[in-house]
Amino acid sequence: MTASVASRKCLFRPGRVLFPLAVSLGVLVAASLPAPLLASPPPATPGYGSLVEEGQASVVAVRFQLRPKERPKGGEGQKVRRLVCGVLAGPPGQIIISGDFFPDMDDGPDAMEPFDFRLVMPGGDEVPAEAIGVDRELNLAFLHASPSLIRSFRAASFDPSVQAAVGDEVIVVGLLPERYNFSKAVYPARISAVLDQPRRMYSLDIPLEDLAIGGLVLLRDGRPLGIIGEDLLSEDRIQGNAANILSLLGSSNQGPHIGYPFVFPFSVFSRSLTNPPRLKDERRETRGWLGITMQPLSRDLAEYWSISSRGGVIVAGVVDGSPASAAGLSPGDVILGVDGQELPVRETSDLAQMQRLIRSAGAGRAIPLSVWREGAVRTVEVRLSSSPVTATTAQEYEDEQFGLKARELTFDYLQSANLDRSTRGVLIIGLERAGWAQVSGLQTRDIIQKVAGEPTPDLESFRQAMEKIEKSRPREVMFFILREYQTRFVRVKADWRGR
Amino acid sequence: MRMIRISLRFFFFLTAVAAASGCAANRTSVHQSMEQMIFHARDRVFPALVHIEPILEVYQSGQRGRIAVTGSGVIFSTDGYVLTNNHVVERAERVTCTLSDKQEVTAAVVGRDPETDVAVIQLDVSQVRGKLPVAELGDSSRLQLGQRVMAMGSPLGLARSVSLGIISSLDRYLPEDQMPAGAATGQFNTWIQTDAAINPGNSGGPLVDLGGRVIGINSRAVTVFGENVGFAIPINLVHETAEKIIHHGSPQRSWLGVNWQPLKVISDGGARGQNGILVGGVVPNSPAERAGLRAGDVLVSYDGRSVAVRYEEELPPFRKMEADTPVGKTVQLGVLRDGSSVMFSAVTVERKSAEAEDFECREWGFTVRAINDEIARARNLDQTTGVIVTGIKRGSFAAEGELVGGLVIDSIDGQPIPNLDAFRQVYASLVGEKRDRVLIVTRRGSVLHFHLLKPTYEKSSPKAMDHDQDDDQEQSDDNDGPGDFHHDG
Repeated sequence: MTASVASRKCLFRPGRVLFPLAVSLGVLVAASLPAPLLASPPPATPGYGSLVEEGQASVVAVRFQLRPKERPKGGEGQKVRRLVCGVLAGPPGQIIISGDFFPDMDDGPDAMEPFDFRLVMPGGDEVPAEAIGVDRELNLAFLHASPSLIRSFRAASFDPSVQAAVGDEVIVVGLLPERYNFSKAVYPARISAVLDQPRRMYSLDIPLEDLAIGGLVLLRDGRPLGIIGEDLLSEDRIQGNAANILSLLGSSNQGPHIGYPFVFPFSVFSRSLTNPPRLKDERRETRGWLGITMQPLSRDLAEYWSISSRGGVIVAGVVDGSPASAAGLSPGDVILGVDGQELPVRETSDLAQMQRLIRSAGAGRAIPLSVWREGAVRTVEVRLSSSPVTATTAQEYEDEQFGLKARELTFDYLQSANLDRSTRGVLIIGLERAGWAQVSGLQTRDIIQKVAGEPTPDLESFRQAMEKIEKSRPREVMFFILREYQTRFVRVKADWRGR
Repeated sequence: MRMIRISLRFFFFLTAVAAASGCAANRTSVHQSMEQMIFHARDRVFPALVHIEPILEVYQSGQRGRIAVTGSGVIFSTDGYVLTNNHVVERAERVTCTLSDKQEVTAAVVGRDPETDVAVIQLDVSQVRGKLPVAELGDSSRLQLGQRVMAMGSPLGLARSVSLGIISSLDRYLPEDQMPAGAATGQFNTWIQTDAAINPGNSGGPLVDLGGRVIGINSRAVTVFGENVGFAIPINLVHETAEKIIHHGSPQRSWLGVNWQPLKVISDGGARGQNGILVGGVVPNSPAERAGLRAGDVLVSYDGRSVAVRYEEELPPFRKMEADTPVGKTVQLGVLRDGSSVMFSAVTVERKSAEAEDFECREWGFTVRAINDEIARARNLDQTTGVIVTGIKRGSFAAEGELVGGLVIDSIDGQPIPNLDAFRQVYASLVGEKRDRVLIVTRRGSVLHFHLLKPTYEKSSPKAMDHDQDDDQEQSDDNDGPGDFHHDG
């Protein structure tokens, strides 16, 4: 033990920054070192030696591929190979990686989804793994591989009581790139900031290589502190400063989102570790839904209304028939807490916290909301329902003959388009260039209400009407549409010759 | 009239002879004769040509300002009435005219009609030295495709210019959705299209036949992807509208509230081989809806007269028939519905203008517009209450409060805003007491947004300078029309 500490002194010169160190080399050197060095006084910045060995044994390279969530016709779609650093933790065979690559169900059909996970063994063999769950809030994904096949690895033993303070020295264990056989690399760093919002996170004073993200973070005494996770940046934060973040931190932009690397201490994900949110539970039916349009409670508005909270969510709109409406919430109310938790929401980008809380509470659950209304705070209990279909999850239908793609109408679209909730029809979301529909003057955002006299209140009736037309093959078809709050007929000419 | 027809016949005759003989002498005489006719026509209208320089009030980028523009016009009565375009003198604070003999005379706006883009201004005849020249108005119903015409006016501000061309089309229909927003004219006419050069500044100027009669008012041109494609309003509609403006102050039109569509040949769905006009939609709470009309009906008779529109360029005459019905009259609408004839009675109401008053909140840095029935309908606002934010001044308190164009202001500091007058009062009182925290609640459908403005007030607010109006049209939601058609003027 002490021998190896001394050996590190040779390799790791104090004050020198960031030298990726191959572990195998370190071990070799340690073994060959003479004993007398043991007697030397404790160094100012000693090496790590076996302190990191245990940690290194839990870091693994994970390969996988990405493919479009909705595969294009006539092919699999473009596939992309990816590589990340993972950490074994929790139950046997469980590996944690960044959740960045897992599209949310709100992501459109163009989003890429990961598949074909493989763990790279020392020596290059690969062991298949399976994605079992994603913690959306922490942006962490959980894989599982057969424990018997990964005996050469050891799960990191986290202790929730381990904490760090600003200035503490830590050690990041990551991987070198593939051409160096994913050799483990350690990076000494110091905690440069301790964040408490939106949850406890530590920032480091060093840039991180791609394959250090997802790596393990140890305290100076070798105890695991946490992992390098990526705090997801919402789009409005990404705009304008993404380039800076990437160049400063050397983070990757591999997935559908952009993340900012932080140390996620074990304390924040310990619950997920033993009981990860399961991917298959991530269905619309199980997610909680409240049914409000939100605006963050800015400091200015809080001051104006004399609300002394750390933030909140202003109810800007209430969807008819929603749990919020049933609970009597109305526009202008301010939600200060959910289920006993404070809502430190100040900016638009913070609203995701509220969304996550409601979603994860789950459909069917009754939760208390702390609601400010005209100067008084009261508790309102709402029974969450499941999320209705939204524009991103709505069904679509494509008619290749007419060259148009339509989507069912959803409450959120109707709201954003300032249309009555009772509006029926299907929304044109795509037109083939120079296709029959486009040439005849149909436009995207037209709402089709009738086709050849047949009412098309929903996607299924529209599909049936179009299939009927494809059988009778008329020369022209009258579409009755709603455009800019006015109805009209559009005569669509069809040319079936050669079809 | 007679003389010009003779001379035209003469012209065509000579052309034929020249073509047959190929004789150089004949060609020369054709040209000479042609030139004589141009001179003749020029002399009859050119003296009545007016170069108009109005100062317009504009609301742009969240502030009220002024711009100086140039346009054209033509004197058509000895009282000093001048025909021009609505868009030349819309919101004019003052109008200065230069006659063709270079006398400068001020004028007053008598009335405007945005729907036809016709306006009448009146010269202060007391300022005019000598006899006021007057142009004769022709009959636009007797025009012919290919007929020679001259455009007179001030293209690009170049006063007293004349260009020559022919009538390229007489039944040009410019659908509303292809016109710039707020300039949805051409409801009641097809346009005279000409290849006589028409440029910005020609607006309001006369299109003249070789007999020296005004047969149209030049109004617009394709300026982006086109050349020699100009459009004039037929003079008969201009004249009729001008008379109504002069005598009643407004065009006074009737309205039923139907989105009329041509009934083209329909090879499927029940209307095979029929004539009529398709009801594309009915406006809620309109006379047509009250009468019981609904989308899909086919109108076959209007107040006892058979009607049919097969192509969209046939729509304007029918719309004009509807508009010319006396306001408040009960009209019988003969309708085919599901194969059987049904008769409906509807009482017409006055067709209302979409024009609404604007207001500048200089201290807070934004502009608003009153909401009238037309605006409420076009934006599906559930009630005609509130005011619409039309523009935000860059860097203003309103911009910091994240106010954006297009939102409807519902309340200010808890005080409801039912209309522009209420808005003005609340604004004045809050500015008067130098309120430094102002909560503005805006609405889009049923969703509210809360904006906190934190204005500070200077001792004397500096007079706003007119900045370059062209380069910062930010956040105005009124400039989103398609780019193909542009106002000249």
